[in-house]
Amino acid sequence: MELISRNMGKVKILELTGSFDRLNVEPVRQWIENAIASDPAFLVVNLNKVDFLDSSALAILVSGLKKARQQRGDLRICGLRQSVRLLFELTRLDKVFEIYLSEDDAVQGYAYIEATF
Amino acid sequence: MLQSDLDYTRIQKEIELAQRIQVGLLPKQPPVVAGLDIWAGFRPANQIGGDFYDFIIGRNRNLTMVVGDICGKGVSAAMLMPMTRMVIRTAALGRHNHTPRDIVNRSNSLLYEDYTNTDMFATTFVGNFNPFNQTIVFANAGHSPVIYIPFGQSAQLLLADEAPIGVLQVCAVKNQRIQLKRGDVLIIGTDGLVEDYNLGIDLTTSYNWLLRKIELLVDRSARSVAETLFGSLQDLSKAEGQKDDQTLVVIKCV
Repeated sequence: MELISRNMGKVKILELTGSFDRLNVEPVRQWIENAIASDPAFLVVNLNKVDFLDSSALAILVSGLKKARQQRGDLRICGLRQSVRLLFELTRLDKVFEIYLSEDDAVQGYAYIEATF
Repeated sequence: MLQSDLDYTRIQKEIELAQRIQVGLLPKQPPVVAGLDIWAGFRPANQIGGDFYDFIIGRNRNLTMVVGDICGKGVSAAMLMPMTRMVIRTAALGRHNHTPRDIVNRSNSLLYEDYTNTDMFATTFVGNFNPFNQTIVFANAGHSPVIYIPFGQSAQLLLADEAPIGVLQVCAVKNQRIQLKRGDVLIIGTDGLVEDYNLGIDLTTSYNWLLRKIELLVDRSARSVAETLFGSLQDLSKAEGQKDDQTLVVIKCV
């Protein structure tokens, strides 16, 4: 799995490519830990190029969400392919995360932070 | 013998012991309940895993059924299985007549901190069967859809309505209700029944395959349904090996 990290203003973006499963959750966990070191963390995880995702990957995303929100930030998801979106819907994690169609939409969703922070 | 071989052998023995404990925690036999034919089975992908199921007969003679799936596989998932099973069992045997929603809520509140500290969650189904009015009331927190086949009709999926245990501080799951009639079949499984991506099968296709397969088996006993399904899944995954733990609880109204 490939990881590409970039910033857009205060928003930190992680783009993943390939299969996101228990064998490669550690780099994502590390990225989240580093990203939330600055308080608060406004994170976007772009899954547009992820074709497979398992429960271990979901657990890391949930963990990142909790940690970011504890610091008044958030972790948002974008670019879900149909099969990955279905997994979010079946587990009802679509009710927990803010999910956007595109990375631009997800970053725009944080527009309030410029005024607040 | 090399030290690495000795270490491997020792670890294997530890895992075999852990497997024996896990299997020991699962019900030895399905419960005998008037009006129901019940069967359950568990096939771990590795020797140990995070799936579990439980049957609890309450003081009011109602049957509570639990199917759970700790996220991940292998040792990490297996480590949380006994604790989770016991918390849910204790909540189900509580003093008051708890509904499945109450059981899931209570379990979530007890498990949330530990699940947060370990970056884990557990999808959970809790169902309560009342033998006097043949009704099942159930709550589904992020668990695989329940497969419901009313007698003479097509199979349908009953979806979860809330996130798994351990995700949110409050699990606001709702009670769902089915009035069972003779010949109805209910199947609660874990997502290992549909996870086979290496064969190029997506989730939607997998569920369609599973539903069509089950519709052909509904006239059989609960045990035959379960064993036939496990056999078919084993055939499907022969080339690549089983990818995830598989648990199946089959309930037939007789």
